[in-house]
Amino acid sequence: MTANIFFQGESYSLQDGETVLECLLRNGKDVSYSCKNGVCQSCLMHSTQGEPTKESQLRLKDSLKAQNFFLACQCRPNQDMGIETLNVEKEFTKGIIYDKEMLCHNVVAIHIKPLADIEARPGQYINLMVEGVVRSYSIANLSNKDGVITLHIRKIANGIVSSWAHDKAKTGDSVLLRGGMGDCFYLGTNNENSFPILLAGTGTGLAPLEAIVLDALDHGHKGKIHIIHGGLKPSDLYHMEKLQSLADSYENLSYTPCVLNKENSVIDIYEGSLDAIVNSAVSTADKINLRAYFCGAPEMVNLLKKNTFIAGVSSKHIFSDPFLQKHT
Amino acid sequence: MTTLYEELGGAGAVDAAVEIFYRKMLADGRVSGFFDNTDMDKQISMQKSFLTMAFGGPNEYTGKHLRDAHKNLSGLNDSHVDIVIEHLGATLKELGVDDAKITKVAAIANSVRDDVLNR
Ligand SMILES: Cc1cc2nc3c(=O)[nH]c(=O)nc-3n(C[C@H](O)[C@H](O)[C@H](O)COP(=O)(O)OP(=O)(O)OC[C@H]3O[C@@H](n4cnc5c(N)ncnc54)[C@H](O)[C@@H]3O)c2cc1C
Ligand code: HEM
Ligand code: FES
Repeated sequence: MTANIFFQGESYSLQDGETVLECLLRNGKDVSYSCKNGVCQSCLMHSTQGEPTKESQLRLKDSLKAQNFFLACQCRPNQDMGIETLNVEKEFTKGIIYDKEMLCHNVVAIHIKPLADIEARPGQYINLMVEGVVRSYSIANLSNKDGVITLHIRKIANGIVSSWAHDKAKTGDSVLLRGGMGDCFYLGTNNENSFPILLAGTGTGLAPLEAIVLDALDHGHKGKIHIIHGGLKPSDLYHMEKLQSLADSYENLSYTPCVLNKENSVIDIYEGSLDAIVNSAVSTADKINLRAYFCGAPEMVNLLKKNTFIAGVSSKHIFSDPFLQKHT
Repeated sequence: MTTLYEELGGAGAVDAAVEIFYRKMLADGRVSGFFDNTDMDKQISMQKSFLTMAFGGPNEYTGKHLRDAHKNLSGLNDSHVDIVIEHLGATLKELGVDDAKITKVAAIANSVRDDVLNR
C-alpha cells in the first residue's frame, strides 16, 4: 500500500520507503531542510490530517508533539497525511542584531536580542531563519541572564547562512529564531553538583561548550570541569585568553587548547589530536559520575562519543551535538 | 508460567545488559567495523530490541525484518554471529545470570542465524 501526502492543494504519492521530505523534493517543492538526519529540525512541518510517525517526533519537545509537528526528513508515513509548512509568524520569534565581532580568521560572533522570550538553556541550539533558509546554531552565552543570544558562526565556502553572517549581517538587522533544542546543557542541581564534567569540541563546537561551562560556574558547580578546544592550527582557536583567565579564577576549571600543528607558534598549546587528549582525560576521570559533552565536526564528535563509551562512561551521561551540514 | 525474559528481569535487565553488551561489541576489532557508520544513540535503542528478542521477550521482529537489517553488512558470516553470542554470554555472566539461562539465550540468538546471514 502506498500512502499519499496532501500539500498546498496537491496530492503526491510516496514511493516505497521514501520520506515526506524526499517526496516533496522529488516533486520540485522548495521546502526547508538541512541535515536530513533528524538533528537540525530545519525540516519541521505540521500535520493537519493523520498522525505523524513515532520516528518523526522522537527528538521533538512534548509541546510540539502534542500539536502534531514532525520532522519531514524522518517521516515515512504508512497512512495518508495532510501537511503544511510552519507558520513563520507563529512559530518564529523576531530578533534584532545587537552587535557583531570577529573571533578569529573564520568565526564571527553575532549577538541577537530576541523581541520575545525564547525558552532555551545555554548550550542548546536555535533555528535561525535568514533569507528564507533555516539553519541551526548553538547558544554560546548565558542567554537567559543576558537577554541576548550569542552565536559563533564559522565561515563555510558557498554556505548561505554563514556567508550572510560574515558578509552581510549588520547591527539593527532583524532575523527570525526558534528554539531551544537539544540536550547539550548543564544538568546540575543544588543537591547534585559535584560530578566531574568533560567538554571537548572542534571549531565552533566551542560555542555550546563555553555556554555550558558558564552555566555550570553560574550554578556554583563543585565538581571538576575540564574544557578542551581543538583546531588544525593555532589561528583556528578563539577565546583563548577568556577561557584561560576563567580557568585561573576558578579552582575547579581547567582549559586545554590543542591543535594538530603548532606551526612554530610559541604560545602554550598542546600539539596532538583531540581524541588522544580526550582519551587520556577520560581514563583518569571518575567514569561512573562523569558527564561528557562533545560538539562540532560530526566525525570527531562520533569518535569521541564512541571512545568515551567504550572507556566505561554510560551512554546516558554522554551529550553531543554533531554540527551536521546540509546533506546533498 | 514465567518466560525466560521475565526470569531474567524484563525491561530492566535489558537496560542493564545493553550498555555492557554494546561496549564489548564496539571494543572488539573483529566486529566493531560493522558499526562504524551507525549513530550510537540509534544503535543503543536497536540493541535493546536485539536483547529483548534474545531474551525471548515481546518480539516485533520478523525474519524478513532481520534479513533487511543485515543484508547490507558485507562480509558478515558465521564467525560474527559466534562473536555476538560469545559477548552476549559474557555480558549475562557479568550480570550474575546462571549458565542454564545463558544457554537458553544463546539458543534463541542462534535460531535466527540464517535470517541474519540472509541464507
Ligand atoms: C545541532 C547543530 C548545531 C550547530 N551549531 C553551529 C554553531 O554553533 N556554529 C556554526 O558555525 N555552525 C553550527 N552548525 C552548522 C550550521 O547549522 C550550518 O550547517 C552551517 O553554518 C552551514 O550553513 P550554510 O547555510 O552557511 O551553508 P549551506 O548553504 O547549508 O551549505 C553547506 C555546504 O554544503 C554545500 N552545498 C549546499 N548545497 C549544495 C548543493 N546543492 N550541492 C553541493 N553542495 C552544496 C555548500 O557549498 C557548503 O559547503 C550546527 C549544526 C547543527 C546540526
Ligand atoms: C545473532 C543474531 C542477531 C540478531 C538477533 C540481530 C538483531 C538485530 C536487530 C533487531 C537489529 C535492528 C533492526 C532495526 O531496528 O532496523 C539489528 C541491526 C544491526 N545489526 Fe544485528 N543481529 C544479530 C547479529 C548481528 C551480527 C553478527 C552483526 C555484526 C557483527 C550485527 C550487526 C548489526 C548492525 C550493524 C545493525 C544496524 C544496521 C543499521 O544501521 O541499520 N548483527 N540487528
Ligand atoms: S532534521 Fe530534518 S533536515 Fe535536519
